[in-house]
Amino acid sequence: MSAAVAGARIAWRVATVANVVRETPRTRTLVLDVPGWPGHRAGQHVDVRLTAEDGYQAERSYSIASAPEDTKLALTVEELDDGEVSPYLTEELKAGDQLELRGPIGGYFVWDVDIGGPLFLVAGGSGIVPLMAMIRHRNSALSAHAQAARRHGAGARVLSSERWRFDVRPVCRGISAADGLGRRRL
Amino acid sequence: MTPISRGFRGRRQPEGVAARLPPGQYETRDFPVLSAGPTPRVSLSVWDLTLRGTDGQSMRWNWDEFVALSREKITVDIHCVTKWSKFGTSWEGVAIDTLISEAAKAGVRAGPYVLARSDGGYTTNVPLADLTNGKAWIAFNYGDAPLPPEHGGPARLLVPHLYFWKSAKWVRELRFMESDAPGFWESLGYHIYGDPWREQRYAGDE
Repeated sequence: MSAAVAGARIAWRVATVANVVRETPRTRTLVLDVPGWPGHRAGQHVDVRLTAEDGYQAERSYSIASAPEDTKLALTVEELDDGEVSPYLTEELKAGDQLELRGPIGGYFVWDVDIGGPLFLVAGGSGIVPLMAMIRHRNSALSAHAQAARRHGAGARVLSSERWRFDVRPVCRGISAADGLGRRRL
Repeated sequence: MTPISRGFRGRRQPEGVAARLPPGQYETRDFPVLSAGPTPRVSLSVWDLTLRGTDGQSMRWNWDEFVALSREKITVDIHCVTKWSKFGTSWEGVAIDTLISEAAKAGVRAGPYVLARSDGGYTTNVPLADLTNGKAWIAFNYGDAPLPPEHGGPARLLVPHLYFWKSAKWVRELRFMESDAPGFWESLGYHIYGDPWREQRYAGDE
């Protein structure tokens, strides 16, 4: 469980957009500077709050896409046609803009290298985002402690489908029962 | 200081809608399905519901006995901690008051806190005071049809004045306790009580 969850209220923080990355026609990754960010675990999410000039506010939850090791916090957002918040985040937001967020939130759907592997990650649409945090966390850990991670057996396979193209990109090969798909292995 | 989101207008809600929305919520007309694991499928022939007292005494109803209890129709707004709210949802169910008074005849002693337990192992805690006096039900119909499994059927707890994770899907047991104990989400960073009007989403929210 994140240290940020223990006792104190999870505070709203002001984040500044460092960069907006186009991932797909409907998807952008917001790369954010968040002063005082307490760190997170791969799989956690944040609440984002926007404030209009007249004080009207809207809140939504978004998964964190970046690894705990990354210096900036990244959220990957899919635009919904009738969305109130996502079209603003994907089309309007630019580097230098600010927004409020609080987190990290959630202690269930998380994975750390210490939990071990192998991983079999399956996602539909924007469900890929928390899995990307896990993959990035794994890759960071692999490059930092290549041999130790290999000994952990943290191999990973990802199966995802992107709704905007309805394609399934199976990058899983050779999964056998012996790989074990038990709950702890995610 | 709260920064203004340059160029953000947002979607203003009509007065009547805005007043029904707790802080940070938005209205949806869908009925989103969120669960932490697979949807349990249980045959009504083996389904039962148990009220377990603080002294270990318990009362158990099978499906036929349960649906033969006095039923109520309920129309309520519901509020999910993931921020959607849905207005005017219609349910049919048995009031927790009814279950408690039936169980009391069999010597089941209520306690000040309740832990609900579901098929699949999900748990959630609710103070007794939030389940009694017409505030909570075990619901088995949604609209005019049996509650579908993805929404918690055959029967779920319905505690509409708290965030909807408290309305445990697939509920099978209510256990009375002398002291409060966190359930599943309450152990994983979510608020121990979960009042949407005070925006008690996460541990530490006041």
